[in-house]
Amino acid sequence: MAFIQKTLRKFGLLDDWQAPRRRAWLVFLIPGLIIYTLFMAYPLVNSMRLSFYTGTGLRPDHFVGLDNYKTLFGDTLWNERFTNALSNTFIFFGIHMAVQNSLGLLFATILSQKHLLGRNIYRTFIFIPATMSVLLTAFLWRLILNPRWGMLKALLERIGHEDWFKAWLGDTKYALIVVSLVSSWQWVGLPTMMFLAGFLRIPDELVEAARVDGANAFQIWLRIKLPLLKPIIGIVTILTFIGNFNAFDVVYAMMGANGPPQYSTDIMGTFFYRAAIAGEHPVARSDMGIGAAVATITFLILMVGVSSWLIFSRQQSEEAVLG
Amino acid sequence: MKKTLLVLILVAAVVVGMGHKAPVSKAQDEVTLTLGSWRVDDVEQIDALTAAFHEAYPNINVVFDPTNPPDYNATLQSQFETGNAPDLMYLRSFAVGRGLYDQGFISDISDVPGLTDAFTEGSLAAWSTEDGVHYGVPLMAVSHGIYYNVDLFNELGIEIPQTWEELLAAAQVLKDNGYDAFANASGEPWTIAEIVFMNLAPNFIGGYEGRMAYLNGERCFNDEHSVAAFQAMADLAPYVPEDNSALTYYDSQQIFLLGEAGMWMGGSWDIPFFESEEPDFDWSVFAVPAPAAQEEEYVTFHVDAAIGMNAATEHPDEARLFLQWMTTPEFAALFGNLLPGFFPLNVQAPTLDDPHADAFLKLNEGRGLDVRWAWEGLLDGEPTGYNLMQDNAIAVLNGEITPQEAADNLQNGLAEWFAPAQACGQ
Amino acid sequence: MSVIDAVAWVVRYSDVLAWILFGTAVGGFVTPRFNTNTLAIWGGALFGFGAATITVVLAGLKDPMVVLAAATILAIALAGYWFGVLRIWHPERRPSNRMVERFHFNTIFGQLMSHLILIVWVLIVLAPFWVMLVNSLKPKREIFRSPFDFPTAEQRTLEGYKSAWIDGNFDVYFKNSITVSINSILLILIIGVLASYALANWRSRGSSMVYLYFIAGLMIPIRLGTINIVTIVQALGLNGRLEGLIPIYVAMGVPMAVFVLTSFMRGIPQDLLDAARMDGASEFQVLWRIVVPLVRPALATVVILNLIPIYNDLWFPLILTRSESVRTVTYGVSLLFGQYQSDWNAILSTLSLASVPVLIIYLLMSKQFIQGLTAGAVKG
Repeated sequence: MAFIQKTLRKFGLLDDWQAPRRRAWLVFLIPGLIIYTLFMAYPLVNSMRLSFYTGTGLRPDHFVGLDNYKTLFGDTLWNERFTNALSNTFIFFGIHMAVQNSLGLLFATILSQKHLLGRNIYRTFIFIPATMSVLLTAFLWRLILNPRWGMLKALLERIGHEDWFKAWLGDTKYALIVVSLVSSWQWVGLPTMMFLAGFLRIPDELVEAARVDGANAFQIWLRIKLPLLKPIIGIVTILTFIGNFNAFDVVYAMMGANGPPQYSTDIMGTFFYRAAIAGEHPVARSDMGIGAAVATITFLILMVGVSSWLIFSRQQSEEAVLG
Repeated sequence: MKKTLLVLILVAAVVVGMGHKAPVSKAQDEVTLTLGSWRVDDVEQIDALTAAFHEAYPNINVVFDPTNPPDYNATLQSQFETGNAPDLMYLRSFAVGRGLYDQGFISDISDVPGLTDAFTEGSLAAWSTEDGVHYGVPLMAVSHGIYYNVDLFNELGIEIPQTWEELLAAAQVLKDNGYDAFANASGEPWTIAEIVFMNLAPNFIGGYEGRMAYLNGERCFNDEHSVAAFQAMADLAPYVPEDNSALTYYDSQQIFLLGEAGMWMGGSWDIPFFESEEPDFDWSVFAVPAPAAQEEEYVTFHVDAAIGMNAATEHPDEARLFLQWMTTPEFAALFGNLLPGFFPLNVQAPTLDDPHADAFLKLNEGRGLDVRWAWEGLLDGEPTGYNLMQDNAIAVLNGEITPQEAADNLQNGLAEWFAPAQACGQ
Repeated sequence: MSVIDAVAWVVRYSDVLAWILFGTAVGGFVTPRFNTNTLAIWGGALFGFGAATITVVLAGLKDPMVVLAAATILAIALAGYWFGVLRIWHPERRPSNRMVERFHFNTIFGQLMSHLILIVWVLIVLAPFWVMLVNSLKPKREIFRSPFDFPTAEQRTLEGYKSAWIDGNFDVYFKNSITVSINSILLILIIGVLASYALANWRSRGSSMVYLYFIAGLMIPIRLGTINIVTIVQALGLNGRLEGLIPIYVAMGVPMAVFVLTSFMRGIPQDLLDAARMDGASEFQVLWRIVVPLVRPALATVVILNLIPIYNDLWFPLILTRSESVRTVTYGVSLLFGQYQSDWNAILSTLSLASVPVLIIYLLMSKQFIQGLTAGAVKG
């Protein structure tokens, strides 16, 4: 008992329960905990357990210890596909950071100007792609990039630079980049919205003060606004990181579940889908055990990333308080 | 305040709206069976089919409930595991259907009256175990051939090629006149595998007997016949559209329909679509010709789908009645004419009203028939014969590897798990 | 002139346009020394014109006269615009000393660049959008024949829209999708706000653990748990009913809500809350009256971030709600994608209609978003 009390106190549980107000907060937590545990945490944890099992169907029942992980890292074919999907996912993430989030920051900077004509209209346009179904944007971009009757090819021909056009989607070197760009195009409205919220929260006085001190717009942006935006940049980065590692739809809709050509657009989401659920065309023989192992590894990668961000950001905010 | 009120009303409206449910009224003795499928294209036709069944058996309703093809297998598997699966469902041939049977999800239907009379051993084999248990009633086969633009052929004075060499010569004529010879493209890899490589392969490996020689280890997968099949891919390389690596199946169909390509190596399932598109030229189909030195010719006539029965269905007797009905010649005639391009497998093959479908079926006359090369046996391990054929055929088409290398890759890949390939040639 | 031609023109002469802008900008920076606006403006414009001329000569473009004419017109128009802005419409913005003056030119240049960047992006956004709109009005077979031309009078057809609404059951599907989405989002917001408020205020190691427990849900593909989730939904008797989707979506959305809302709520100054507590407000009142208005932008973010995946989800409807009366839009659309051919005309029409509810909700939200921003005085 003493141990339990000690542990509870250590985690701040005991003290908190004593103050009625804090008890209220904990009551606030309960509905979330219940529904989240029942419909998400429990089913998922229970499924991650499957990474230690093997068998046919979606509920393998033969315990094999770490064999699925060994297969994933040891078997030539599995390992090749797995490392390929993993590195593709990092590239996918890198392009989203470099394009989607940088553009988001740029747009938010521009849109946060007080006297910009048509600000709301621009904002809506930037957001429109995010409202469209991935099935739709995939089809439209495939049509635009089509080497036979694509708009882009026609455009480059009129400019006289036909040679700039390539069948990017059929090229192992470019396909992933193009898919990432389309995805960035679609979702850039979300970081824009979040960055804009951050910019608009910056009090005018701060900016005015800097202006009086003779700082120009760029200096104000770099020295004052950007540091204040750090927490939101962190959130956006983490959301992009998590989103990209679980991404599936855009590759599935644009290229198919196999990530053609030659698995060059295969990312963790599609790899997991094939391994765990769908199998590979036309066989459809999936291996839930290995799929669960893939998901568990993805989870661990994300957990490491997110935890280090949490620790880092906490340190930062503590430093900020101290400083 | 007004806004809060508005939100509350909205919530209330939504919640109330959810209360309304379409009442499910059913007469006591009426039974409804669901029929799962990946053929979302065929809702109208299958509805007509089930209506005919309903007329014969007024107390049974069959509801067609298809899933979009890429999600079908995965959805069906989850439905089985959670007890939501339909009573009857389309089964893919060989490995996939077999997987469901091995998991105990679908019934042994060997005792359905008329089954073995209505279908050949060959068609039944795609849904049977080694011990002779049948778990699916064969529904349809698809055929493969080369569609061609009749008007364009006439205009350029091209005869229907009788040999592989003549085919290449015809392709050269088309190319010289500024047309794409073939509309086929590799943007969707399966198209190269299923409607190009496996379409032409039987003529080079010697049809059923040749394929069996691979499956029982008499031949290695990198023997001269296999190399010849990959060589045929290399032969085609100059005649496919520019930038074909980024062209999809739809693009290819449209290239042919727009008259920009003279030929399209395709499957019989394209017939209804091509008919509905009404291209402004005459089109027909010929079989992939064999090399000049070879007498026998072959057509890839692939058993594609059967209908199986959920082992846990609440209405096994009614479901069996439907399966039994499927063995009748009336069903075959109805099905074959409702869905031109999908051929019923009944031994009493009906006459087909659709001229294109009829022409396609006529290609079978005097030619050996066989299923697609990769299906039987070669899908049971990793890497699958399907993937190896697909990836290497594309690589040959793109000029990245030689036909010999492609055949070697196929042999080495299969030798990792396929016993006959490991022991071959001895 | 088709749209392609217009875009092609802009792209072809983009270097010239860029030089003009660059020139005017440099002119703008350089000329304040003269301390007269007029000179600055004309100087900039002249510089731009000169730069454009040099580019034309150097690049040896095919039709230099067109370029020169365009550059002249543009330079004059720009100068006129600036002159007008400074002298006539906004006399109060006229620079009074050098410092402000420089800043002001910065702003004008900035404004111009801002519009340029945004317009270019809007064009990139509109291109596919336009393809969609144009093609959804065409008969099926024209989509590939001439994908980028506006349908001619005899081609124009509402067949796609008609087949979606009249022949298909899309009115029912829409109602279902909207019902599920709105109910899920409302529950996510309520549950998420409550939980985040607790987590933001309860600062201890236990709180971090619970927080991490929640956001761990963002990191695993939900499809992994399909069988378990469906089993639970079945046990609750919600199988085959729209209500069966809602708890799944709520559980899927809560992690995101907690993640975004908690970090926003942690940014609210503690004094603000404590002051209200001193006045005798209950925790719930503090939450509802003070915290919720302050985190409105975050709420809008949560709504949008969750709405899109929920509205577009295909997986759980495929498994849980198959009968006609409870199908969602995404499910309905998936049935238009055939095995070997798809009804693109109907797909484009339906999908373009399908994006309308999300767009409307976004527009409603963005209004909230702005109001929340002006009302809130939260420290960054």
